[in-house]
Amino acid sequence: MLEQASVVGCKLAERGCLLAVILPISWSDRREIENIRVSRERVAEILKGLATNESLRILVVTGDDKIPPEGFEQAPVHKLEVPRVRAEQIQSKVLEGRFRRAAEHVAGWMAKNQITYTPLETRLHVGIVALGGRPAHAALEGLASRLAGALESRPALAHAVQRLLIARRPLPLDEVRKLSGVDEEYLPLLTSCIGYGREQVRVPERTRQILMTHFRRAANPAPPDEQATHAELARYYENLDGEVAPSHLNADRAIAWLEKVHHLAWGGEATRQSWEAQRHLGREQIWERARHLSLVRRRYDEAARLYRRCIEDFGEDSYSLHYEAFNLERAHGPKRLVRDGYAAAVAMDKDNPWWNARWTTFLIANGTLAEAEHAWREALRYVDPTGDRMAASPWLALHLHQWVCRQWLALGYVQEARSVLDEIYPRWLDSEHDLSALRSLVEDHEEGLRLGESVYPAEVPQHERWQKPRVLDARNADKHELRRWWPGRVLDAHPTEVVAVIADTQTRLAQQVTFTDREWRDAANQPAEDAEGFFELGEYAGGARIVRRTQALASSLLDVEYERLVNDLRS
Amino acid sequence: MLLHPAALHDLGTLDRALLYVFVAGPGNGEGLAVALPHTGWLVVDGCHVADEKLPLLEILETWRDPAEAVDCLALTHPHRDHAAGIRRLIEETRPRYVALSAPPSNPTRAFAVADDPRQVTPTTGRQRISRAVDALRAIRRYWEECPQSELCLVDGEVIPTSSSRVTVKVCAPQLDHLEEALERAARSKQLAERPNEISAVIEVTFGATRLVLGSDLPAIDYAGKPIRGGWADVLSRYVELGQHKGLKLPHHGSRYAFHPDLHTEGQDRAWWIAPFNQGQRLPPMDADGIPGLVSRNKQVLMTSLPRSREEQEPLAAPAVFSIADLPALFSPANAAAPSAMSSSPGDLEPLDPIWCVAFDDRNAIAGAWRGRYALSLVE
Repeated sequence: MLEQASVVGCKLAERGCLLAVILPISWSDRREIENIRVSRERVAEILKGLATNESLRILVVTGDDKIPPEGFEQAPVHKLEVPRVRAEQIQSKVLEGRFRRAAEHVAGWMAKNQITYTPLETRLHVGIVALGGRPAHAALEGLASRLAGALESRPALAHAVQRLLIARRPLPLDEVRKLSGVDEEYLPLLTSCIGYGREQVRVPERTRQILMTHFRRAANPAPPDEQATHAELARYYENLDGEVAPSHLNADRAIAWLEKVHHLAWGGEATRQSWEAQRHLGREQIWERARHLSLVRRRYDEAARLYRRCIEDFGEDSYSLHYEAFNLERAHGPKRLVRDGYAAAVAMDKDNPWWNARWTTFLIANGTLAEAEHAWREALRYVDPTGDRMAASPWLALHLHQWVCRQWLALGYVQEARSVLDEIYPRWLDSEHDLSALRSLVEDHEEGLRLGESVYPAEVPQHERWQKPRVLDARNADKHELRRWWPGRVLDAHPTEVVAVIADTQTRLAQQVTFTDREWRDAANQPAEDAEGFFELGEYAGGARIVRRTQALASSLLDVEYERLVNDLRS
Repeated sequence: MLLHPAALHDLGTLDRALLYVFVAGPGNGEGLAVALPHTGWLVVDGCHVADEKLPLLEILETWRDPAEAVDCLALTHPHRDHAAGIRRLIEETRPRYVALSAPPSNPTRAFAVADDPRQVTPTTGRQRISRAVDALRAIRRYWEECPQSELCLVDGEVIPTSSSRVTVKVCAPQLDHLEEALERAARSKQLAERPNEISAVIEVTFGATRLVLGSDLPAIDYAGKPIRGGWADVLSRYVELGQHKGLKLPHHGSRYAFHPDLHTEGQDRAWWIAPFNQGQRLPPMDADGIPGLVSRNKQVLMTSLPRSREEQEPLAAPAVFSIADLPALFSPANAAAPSAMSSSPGDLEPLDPIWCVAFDDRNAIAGAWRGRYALSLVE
């Protein structure tokens, strides 16, 4: 890629061109920096190649000058102001019906409150009001969230929007109509609120990304015809390029070809043959199809074969090696190949947190304990030798430590899980929901080992345990005060008795007790044979005892790990 | 004649003319390590103490010559209280054979049934499942890595050892019972519907000395009916098992594992119990339980007493208690149930909950040693 970019750079320089490179918004999203590591490296490689010829002038457009691409750290920075829209600039008359009324309403509200919005925010605002919402002080992210929320009660319209968002490039108006299948009344939502443009409708990438994220989080699932939409877009672009390779296409047709290959990759079985017929130019194009097969269609063996093909066609790279192993593992392929793949990826890219996370978790489940422990030490050594990455953000703990810790727990190695948890900065354990949950999980397992029998559901945080009853009343029906109480769990229930474990809140030791059917009925108001689950036993002044059941949630994140291990054993 | 044990920490280098049986049982779970005469070790099941330390590993590290082979590590059945530490034991001792109750025609069938974790809510339940799953996975890996180590525990199988002076034979499960149990388990999608029923019974003979390692095989079901493949079946084939010098009592001394032809009357024999302290209280303390066993053998060796950690004290030598002392041995810590047995494991060190008995080949006991928490019960 470096060499190809270098050739391009030289040719552009010979022609005296100015090259403008627009980096995607994810480039400047600090939360995504680690997630797009491979892509960033590829971009850096391409830019480095282009810049080989020093006479080529390159303009890099990015959302954040604090994260320049490699080699551009010293480049002069020109900041562009984001335009602001004032109320009187809103052209409501170009719209009709509910959208015109909405635009007028938004304009009136902005004038009254003397506020301005960016063009993208203004458009989304109009869309929200047109769907029955009210104007509000919010930025793009909040507005996208509100729009996605407003669409929840309109599934057909939501699906139309989602179909449009699948297109990455501007589309002609007729194609928008056809692709989205939107009701004509709501077409302006797509063409004037979410997207814009008269002949070609463009959905700004930032709007698109934010909306897609919200749709993924919201109740609206992906449209049921997502693959068909990709196939439809592939057909559209095929009409524009008509080739299986872009080598002699002009810029526009080359872009159409790239888009076609992208949509063919995600178009499911219907586009398989067409996708295979293309002359793929790089790893990324094969990765896309492999990701589709793996993530969407769960055809792990086919995905693994594509990663293998990628390695054969373009040489070894850690991403292909890792994901070949990952998919082989899910396809229950030969363990030896899985192991070799994970190992090779880590060897090639020693400081990659994901590669290390999967390599270590694989060894916890499939290697020896000594190998797993060694892999973890090596991961810490290479991924974060100075501790800077851990100090900088919770990302590393979320993407490396968390999974290693969970895998140890899933196989019952509580001390090992604790030692991994202890590597995480306490402030991330406090601030990140997933990490707080992980800490609770480890503490719950530790308590289980200490007690011998759990007396609290796993989901009850430690700070809610032992201090006071969670479900017992301070006084019983006779107004007698609660004198003593014990958390507990039913171990065995028979028609004649209940065998349970209860724990002393002072000593925190668990003991087995047996209640006769009569004792249990008096305390729990149910027959012994119906007893189950966690409970609290209270003893009130006067000697009366009450048993109250505490609800346990059905499952936790850990189930996923357990299930995978058990299924693997069964396979 | 009663056994009068010495302290386990006084047990020095083993006299390899003898056969030593170490029984570990910290209150939940059990494991055995057998030092065979002359050379070689047999390891059966596994358990752990506080901080997940492994008594059997400690025994092997203390008394085994590093050059000496662990001839066989056997998981008698995939039950949680027998599976702790199996993986570490395999990885650190690399046994010549790793054995499991599994059909020889298709051993990995035993792996195809495992508890569905979603059906187990309490964390402690999951921890136990995890141990069984981890043990089975470790066995599968080891079999894949060393195919020659694969050994199926089925009736009639002889476990090869380095010692020419002993025979180690599997007396249960019978193959058809095992197949049936696995079929049932596959249908119900559990590790084994009733894992105890596929427990392997292992007989060790050393000259005139016979030892029976009873694992968890039951005799009757909870309704009192004999279990197919249970002790009645085993003893109909191997009537001689009742004439033993040492018996690891099946299923922690449970009444459901009692059979008069196995629990024969006698004395001057080693009867070990590793107590079980979860869900059920084993051995039972009522008339059908410990008192009955003591009356048949005059002495029962318990590896530990399950009682509250704070009340737990090392038991002073000789740690011989009469049945009448039994209630006082339990902690009255909990006001809700003064006589309740503690479920919390004690802070034991690996060599605390252990009995070791040495046998010669003339059907005699040559010595006995106890860890600090082991005790014996007499009439």
